[in-house]
Formats: sequence, C-alpha cells, structure tokens
Amino acid sequence: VEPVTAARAEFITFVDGRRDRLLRIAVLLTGDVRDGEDLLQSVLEKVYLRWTGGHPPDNPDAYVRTALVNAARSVRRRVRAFPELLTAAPPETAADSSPVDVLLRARLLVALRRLPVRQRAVVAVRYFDDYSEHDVARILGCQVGTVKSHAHRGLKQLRADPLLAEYIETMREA
Amino acid sequence: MSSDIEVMLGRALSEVRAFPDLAERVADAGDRRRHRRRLAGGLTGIVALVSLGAFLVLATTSTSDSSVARVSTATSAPKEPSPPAVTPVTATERILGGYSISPSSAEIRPLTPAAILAEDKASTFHVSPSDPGSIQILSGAFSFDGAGASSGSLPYNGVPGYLIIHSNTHIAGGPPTYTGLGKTFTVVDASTGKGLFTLAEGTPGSSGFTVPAAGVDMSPARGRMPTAAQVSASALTGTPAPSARPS
Repeated sequence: VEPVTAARAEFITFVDGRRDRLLRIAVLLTGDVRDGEDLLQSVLEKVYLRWTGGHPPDNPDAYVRTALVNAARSVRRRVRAFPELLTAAPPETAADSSPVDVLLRARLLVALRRLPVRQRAVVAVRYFDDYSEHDVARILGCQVGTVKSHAHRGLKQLRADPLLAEYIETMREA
Repeated sequence: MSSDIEVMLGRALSEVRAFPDLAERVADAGDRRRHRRRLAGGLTGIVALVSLGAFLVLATTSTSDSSVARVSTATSAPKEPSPPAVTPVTATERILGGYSISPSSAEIRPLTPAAILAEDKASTFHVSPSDPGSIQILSGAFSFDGAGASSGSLPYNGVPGYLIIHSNTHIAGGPPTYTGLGKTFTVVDASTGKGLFTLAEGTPGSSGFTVPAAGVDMSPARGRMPTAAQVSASALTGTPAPSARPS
C-alpha cells in the first residue's frame, strides 16, 4: 500500500504543476477544448496506472507529451474508456477573456483542425510548448528533419489561413 | 520567424484552464480502474478454475465408462486383484466352464477368492477359502498334467497357497488321501489345522484320474465355497464338510 500511496502523491504533484499547460497542448493536438480535456484525462489515467504500478517514467514531461501525441493520432481516441469528469465548479471564467481572445481561440482551433495530425503535433509541442527540434523529434519518434518539415508546412498553412490572417497581420505590425 | 505563431498560440489559449483537482480526479479514476481490473482478473481466475474442474470431472466420468474400463481390465490382467468383495462362487460354474482341479506350486499366488471371478476367463483360476494365505496342502505328492498345463509335481505339505484349476487337467492320483476315484484330498488351514476340500467323481486316467467338468464339488453347500466355519468343522473330524458331496 505504501509504494502506491507514495507514487500517487508524486503523480498528483507532477500533474498539479502542469495541468494547464498539458491541457492546452491537448487542445492544440485535438483542435477542440472538450476533446482536449477528454484526451488529457484518458492519457493521464494511463500514466497514473503505470506510475503507481511500479513503472514510473524516467522523464514524465516527455512521456506525457508522447502519450498525448500518440493518443491524438489514434483513430480510437474518441472512444472514451471513462466517463467525463463532472464538477460543480466549472473552470470556464469569462472575466479575464477579452472578446478578441475568445474569437482568436475559436479561429485558431478551426485552423489547427485543418492541419494533418503530425503537423498539428509539431506546432503544438515546438511553438507552444517551446521544445527544441531534437526534443520534438524524440517525443514524436521521428527524425529532426521530419520535424523541421512538418513545422515549416504547418506554419505556412496557418499563416495562409484566412481565419488567422487578420490577427497575424496585427501582431506583425505590433 | 515563428514568433507570430507563438504569440498567437499563447494568447489564444491563455484562458484555457484545467480543473483545479484534475490530478486527484484522475488518480481516483485510476484507482477505480485498477480495482476493476483486479476484480475482473479474480473472476476470470474463478471461472477458469470452475471450468477446469468441470472438465476434469467430465473427463473422469468418461474414462470410467464401461467400454474404457473393459479395455483397462483386459490389458491389466496380470495386476493384483482387489480384495474379496463377494465370497460365494459356485464350483459348478467353474467346472462347467471347462476347468478341472489341479494343485500346482508354480501357480501359487496370493490371490483372494474375489480374484477367482476375475480370472475365470483366463486359463486358470484359484480356489481358496477366505484366508488363502493360511492354507497348506497336507496330502500332496501328486502330479498333474492336462491340456494347457505341463505335468509337474506338487507339492507337499507345508506349501501355502491355493488349489489351481486348469482346464481339462489330468490329475494323477497320489496317496495317501488322494488315491482314487471318488476320493478326496485335503487342504488344511495351516493356522488352525482345519479345513477340507473334496475332489470327487473323478474319471480314471492313464495314471490317475481326470476331474470331469461337472464332477467336482468343493463346497459344503451346493456349488458354494466352504465357509471358514464349515471347513473348520469338517477338518476337526477329518471328514468332508457336511454338505460336501460328489455332484
């Protein structure tokens, strides 16, 4: 019982320090907030079982990201093994979000969904999560050149997306 | 070069937040999942054991089927027979089965009366009282020969064992108590000095007589093996058991 309890505490500490970032990566990978939440929860459950089963990952950050990418690539990811987690205190808060941010998020997610899964994963991990190309290659299990290729094509398509053109132009001017 | 995208990603997702108790909830769900797995594994194990038990029961039942048992008996004839469960065996039945009586030291074996039935289909069977190990042939010194059996000498006083009956065995007469047609020879319980079997209505042979198929009655009661009490009683007087008589 003791090892499981200690591993549970370690897992909770790990997730508590990264839950928002992990959720945002999951949202970018899926192109949808709700799908991102489901993806993150299902992946974290598997990680928890491994963690408390005597096989904690050596590099939990990379391990979780790899699991997220693989799960997002899986065609079965929408088959939910577990029910959604219900809460009486929904995390949505409208106070800090400007209407511009809300519209930007919606358009960005639509544009991300137009990308192939691999390009979407590279964009999320490389440009949102700030991982190096080598780390991204390790997480995705591919060559660095492949990462560069996916990144180039993904950025090019996002910049060319009419939904985001207005925002990108504003940012460049700023 | 990619700063515009980085800024846009950060700004768009800045308000996306996870549940504050996400880690706890995930851990609880994981614990429940592990519990379900263990429970399912236990149930699977129980089902597997029950299935295995049922299979073994069925297999045991099927292998104890009569057809299989017959094969087993036939192939295991040389094995030691089980202890006697049924004592009464009619001598008439044995004799009518084509057997005659002959003592043979070579075939003395620690068989019980129950084995008589088991060996009825063999070339020999054994006649003995209920406690065969205590029987001695006192009036021996006779030989035998006959179909399926080579001639030989038998035995003498003090040889424990059984009377062994061969089909169509020719028994050469031997003194002193086994001297002729209609005579008797005696086997005695070695431990008590009592006991009697009667060979009677013999047919003379070239060198003695041949026990006819239906001519032997070894039991005090018709067609029955003598009980220990009857054997003892007749042995005391040196005469055949009361109901033992030529057939």
